[in-house]
Amino acid sequence: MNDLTFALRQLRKSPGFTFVAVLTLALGIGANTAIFSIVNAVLLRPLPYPDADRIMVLNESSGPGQDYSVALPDYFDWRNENTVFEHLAATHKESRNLSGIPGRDPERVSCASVTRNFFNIIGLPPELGRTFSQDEDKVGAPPVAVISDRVWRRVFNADPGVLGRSITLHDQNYTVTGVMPPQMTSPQDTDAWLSMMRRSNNPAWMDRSHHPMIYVWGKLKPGVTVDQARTEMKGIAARLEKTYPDTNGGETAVVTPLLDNLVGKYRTNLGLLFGAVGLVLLIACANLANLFAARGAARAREFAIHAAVGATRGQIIKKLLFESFLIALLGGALGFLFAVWVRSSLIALSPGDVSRFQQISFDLPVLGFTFLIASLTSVLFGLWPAWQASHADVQLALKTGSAGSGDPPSAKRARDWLVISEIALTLTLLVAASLVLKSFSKMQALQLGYEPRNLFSARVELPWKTYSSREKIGTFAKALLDKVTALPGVQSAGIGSNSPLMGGWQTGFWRDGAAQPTPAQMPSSDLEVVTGDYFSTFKTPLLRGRTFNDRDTKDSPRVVIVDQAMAEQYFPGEDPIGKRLFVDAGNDEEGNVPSEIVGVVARMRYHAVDEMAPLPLIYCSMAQAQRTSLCLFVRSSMSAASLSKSIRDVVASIDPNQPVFDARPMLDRVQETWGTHRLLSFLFSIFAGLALVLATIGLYGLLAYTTLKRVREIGIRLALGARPAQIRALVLSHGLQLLLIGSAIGLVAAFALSRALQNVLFEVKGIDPKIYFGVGALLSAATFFASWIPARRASRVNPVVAFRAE
Amino acid sequence: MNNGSDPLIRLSSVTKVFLTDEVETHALSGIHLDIRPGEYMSIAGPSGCGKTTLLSILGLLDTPSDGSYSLKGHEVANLSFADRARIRNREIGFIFQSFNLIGDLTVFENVELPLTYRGMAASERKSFVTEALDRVGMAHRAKHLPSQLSGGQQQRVAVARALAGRPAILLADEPTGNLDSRNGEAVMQLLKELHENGATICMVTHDERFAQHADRTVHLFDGRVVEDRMAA
Ligand SMILES: Nc1ncnc2c1ncn2[C@@H]1O[C@H](COP(=O)(O)OP(=O)(O)O)[C@@H](O)[C@H]1O
Ligand SMILES: [Mg+2]
Repeated sequence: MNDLTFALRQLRKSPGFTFVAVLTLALGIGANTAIFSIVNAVLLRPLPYPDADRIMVLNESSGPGQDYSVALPDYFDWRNENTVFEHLAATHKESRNLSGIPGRDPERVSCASVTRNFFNIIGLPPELGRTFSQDEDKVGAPPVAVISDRVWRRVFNADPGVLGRSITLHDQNYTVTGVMPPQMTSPQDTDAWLSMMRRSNNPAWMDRSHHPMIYVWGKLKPGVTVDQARTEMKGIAARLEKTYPDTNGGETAVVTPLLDNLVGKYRTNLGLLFGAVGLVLLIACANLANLFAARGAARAREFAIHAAVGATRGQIIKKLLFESFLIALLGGALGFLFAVWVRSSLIALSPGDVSRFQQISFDLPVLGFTFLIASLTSVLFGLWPAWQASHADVQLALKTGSAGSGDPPSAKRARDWLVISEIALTLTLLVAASLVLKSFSKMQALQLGYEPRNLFSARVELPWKTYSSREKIGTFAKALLDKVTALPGVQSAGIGSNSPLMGGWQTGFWRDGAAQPTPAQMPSSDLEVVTGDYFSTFKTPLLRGRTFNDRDTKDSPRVVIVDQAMAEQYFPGEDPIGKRLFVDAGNDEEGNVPSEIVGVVARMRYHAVDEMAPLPLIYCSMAQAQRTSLCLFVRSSMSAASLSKSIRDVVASIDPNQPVFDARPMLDRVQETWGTHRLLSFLFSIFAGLALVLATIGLYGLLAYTTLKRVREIGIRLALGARPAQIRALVLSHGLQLLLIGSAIGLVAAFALSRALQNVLFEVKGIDPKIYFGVGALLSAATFFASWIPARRASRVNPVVAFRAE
Repeated sequence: MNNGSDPLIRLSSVTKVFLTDEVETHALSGIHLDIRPGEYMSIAGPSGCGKTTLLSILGLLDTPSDGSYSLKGHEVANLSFADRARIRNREIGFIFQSFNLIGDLTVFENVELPLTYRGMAASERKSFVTEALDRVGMAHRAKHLPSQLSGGQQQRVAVARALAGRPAILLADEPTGNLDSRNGEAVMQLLKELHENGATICMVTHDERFAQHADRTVHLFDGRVVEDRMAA
C-alpha cells in the first residue's frame, strides 16, 4: 500500500479531525494568501513597462519631508550635465476639459504635458499612430495630443480614424497623433499627453525660484545603479547651488525608483500586516501540532504494530508527514479559495489613491506562495507529532488493553508550550490591534478646524484661455455662488482653490519692514484663494478682524487673512490686524506684493495627517488672486445625489462647456485620508480576533485532551474524596497557569511590537495601561471559556473508573 | 459473632441494575449486609458476581438502584455527588488492585491528597502523612515518585494513603491481585496488623488463603449473598 492511499484512508477514517484541521489551516493560509496577494500586487509585481526598474522619478528637496517639484531651468541643467540617464524627461500634470466631441457632454480628463523623450522612458510604442516629433515639442509648434487607450475606447469607440482628428482641451484644439496601449497610464492615470516644450517660454516656468509642479522622470543607462545616479545628481545640485545661491540654496536632487515613488509609503504598513498574519498562521500551526500529537498518541498501538513488523522510525515519520502534507494541501486549496472570495472586500478597504491596490489578482506567484506556505506549515506542525509517534513503545503491540500510564512528561511539556506560545502570540496581536484601533479613533476624532459633516464639495476646472482674467472668473464664481445659495436646502456656499485635503500650493512670504530673504531662506506657507462665504460654510471661526468682501477688488489694496498658526508663529504677542506681509498670490508677472492682514481665522487642517509638516496658512481673495481651478463648497443637509445634480445643472446654466467633477461629500475626502489606517485597523482586528479564536480552541483542545488522558487519575482523586469544585479547580488552574506564562512572554513581545508600530501610529505613544488591562481581561475570559467545559467534564467523571478501566 | 454493638454499615435490600444497550444486568440483587466496627470481612466469589459493584456502593463511589445504605446510622444512599465526596474523604479509605498512585505526585503528595481535599492545614497534614507512612514502613521513600518503587512498595504507599485520613473503614479490591506471592503476603500481613490495631476492613479477594485472614467471609454468587460465614 503506498503512502498516499494510506494517508487518504486515514483522513477519511476520521472526518471530524480532518475537518477541524483543514478548516484551521484554511483560515491561516487563506489570511496569509490574501495579504500576500496585496503585497504581490502593490509591492512585488513589476510595472508594465520594459526595464521598469530603471525608471526613476526626480524631485528637488531641502531636507527630509520637504520635497517639492522641479524648477524647469534646473531640469534643463540636469539634462545637460548628467551622464547616468539615458533620457531625462519633464512632466506636468494638469486637468482639462475635453469638449467638442459631437454627441458627448464636455468632460474632465487628466492630462500631462511631457517632453517627447518621456515616451522613450516608458519604452512602450503607441498602439496606433505616433508620439510627438522633435518639431512638435518646441515653442510655437502646432498643438498635438497622444491619447490613452481608455479615452480612445470610451470617447471614440476605438475608431482608428481618430488619428488626425482635432479635439478640444480647455478651449484649445489639438490634433491626435497617436493612441498609447492600455498599460500606459503614467504619470498618475493620464488620459492625454501634450507637448511640454511648446509652453517652455512661459515666464513662470523659466523662473528658477519657481517649482511649478514639474516632476522629472529618467531612465538609467543600463548598468548604472540608483546610488550612482543619486551621487551624481547630488553633485549637479551642489554645483547649481553654488552658481545660483539665491534660488538654489539648500536644494538638492532626490532620485526615487518609480515603484518606490508609487507605493514606497505602503511598504511598512504591508510589512506589518504580513508579520501579523504570519503570527496567525503560527498559532494555527501550534493548534495543529497539538491536534496531530493527540491523534498520534491515540494511534500509539497502530504505530507500535508497524514498528513490530519492522517499520523503521523514518518510515513511520514519512507516513505521518504525508498525512500532514495532505491536510496542508487541502487547507491551502481551501484557503486560496477563501482569499479569492475576500478579494473584493480587500479592494474596497484599500486606500483609493494607488491603483495597484485595485489590481489584486490571484496569479501564479500567489498560487506558488500558497503552495509554499502550505508545504512549509505541513512540516512545521507535522514533524514534532510524527517524531513523537515514531517513538511509540513497541511493547504496546504485545500488551492487551493497557493504555499506558499516559504520555511522557516531555510530550506534556511540549503540548503546554505550544499553547503558551499561542497565548503569547495572541496577546501580542491583541495589543497591536488595540494600538492601531486607538490610533484610528484618534485620527477620526481629530480636530480638523472645520465641520466636514453636511458639507458637499464639487470641482470645476475653468479653461484659462476663455477665463483669462480675474473679472471673467469672478463673474462665473459669483453666478455659481448666487445660484447655488438660492437652491432650496442650501445654507451657504463658498469657493476655494486648493482647499483642505486636495493638495495645494505653497508660497514664500516675509513681513513688511524685514529685508527680503533669498528664495532659499524664505519661510513657506500654504496659500489658499477663496471667495463667497468660505469660512462660514466650513464653520471655521473668524477670531479677529473681518473676512473678504465686495470692496476687496482687483484694484483695491491687497488684503490677506491668516490663520492662527501664522499669527502665533510670526506675530507672537502682537495683533496681526493691520500688519503687512509680502505675499506672492500667484498672479502672472507680479511676484510678492505687500498685503494687509485684515483677519485671523482658526486653524484648518489642510493636509492629511501623514502627508507633510504643517505650515501656516495665508488666504487671498479670489478677486485679487487669479485661479482657474475652483472647488465649490456647499453647506446643506440635502443628499449627495441631489446636490450633485443641482450643482451640475447650475454650472451648465452658466457655462454649458464646463464639466463638474469630483463631486462628493467632504466627509468622503476626510475618510479617504484614513485609508491606510482603516485597512490596518480592520485587518489587525480580524487577525487578532482570529488569533483569539484559534488560541481559545487550542487551549480548549489541550485541556479536553488532558482531561481525557487523566480520567483515571481524576477518578482516583474523586475516590479519595475530592469534591467536584476541587477537580474543576485542577483543570482551571492548568489553564490559568498557561495563561500567566503565555501573558508574561506576550507582554515582552507586545512591548517590542508597540515600538515597531510607533511609526505608523497617530498620536498613540508609549504604553497604555488601559489597553493592557483590556487585553488581559479578554484573554482571561477566553481562558475561562476554554477551560470551563473540560473542567466541568472532569468534575463529572464517574469515580468508579478507579476500580475499572484496567 | 454478634456482640450487639450498632453496625457501622447497614445495607438492606440493595440492588444494582446496569442498563447497557437495552440489556439489564442485575449486578446486585437484594443484598442485606451489616458491618460492625472493628470487623475484618472478606468478600469472595467468581468473576462477574458483583464484588466490585458491592465495594463501589459501600465506598459511595456508586449509588444503589434500590434499597437503603446507612453509614454510622445516617442514610447515605441518595446524597448528592459532592456530599458523597465529603463522606468518602472522611470515612472511607480505598486500596485498589492496581495501586492507583498518581504518577506525577511523590509518595508524600499521594498520601497527602485526601487530607488536602479535606482542607487540612499543611502542618497537620505533614504529621498525619508521616504517621501513615511510618505505619506501612515507607517513610524513607517519601520523596520518591511511584515509578521508582516496586509493586509491593507502591501498594504499601496506597495503604498509607487509605489510612492517612483515619477513615472509619478500609475498602480493598483484590489488593494482592497485581503482586507476586511474597509481596502479596506482606501486604496481607500489613492489613492484619491494622485490623489488630482496631481498623475496620472490607476486602475483596479471590484467594482462599488470604480470605482466611478475615474474621468473616461473605460469598457472592450472581449478585446475591449465598454464604456469610464467621471464622472459627
Ligand atoms: N458500569 C457497568 N455497566 C454495565 N455493567 C456493569 C458495569 N459494572 C459492572 N457491570 C456488570 O455487573 C456485573 C458485576 O460486575 P463486577 O461487580 O465487576 O464483578 P466482579 O468484581 O465480581 O468481577 C458484571 O456482569 C459486569 O459486567
Ligand atoms: Mg472486580
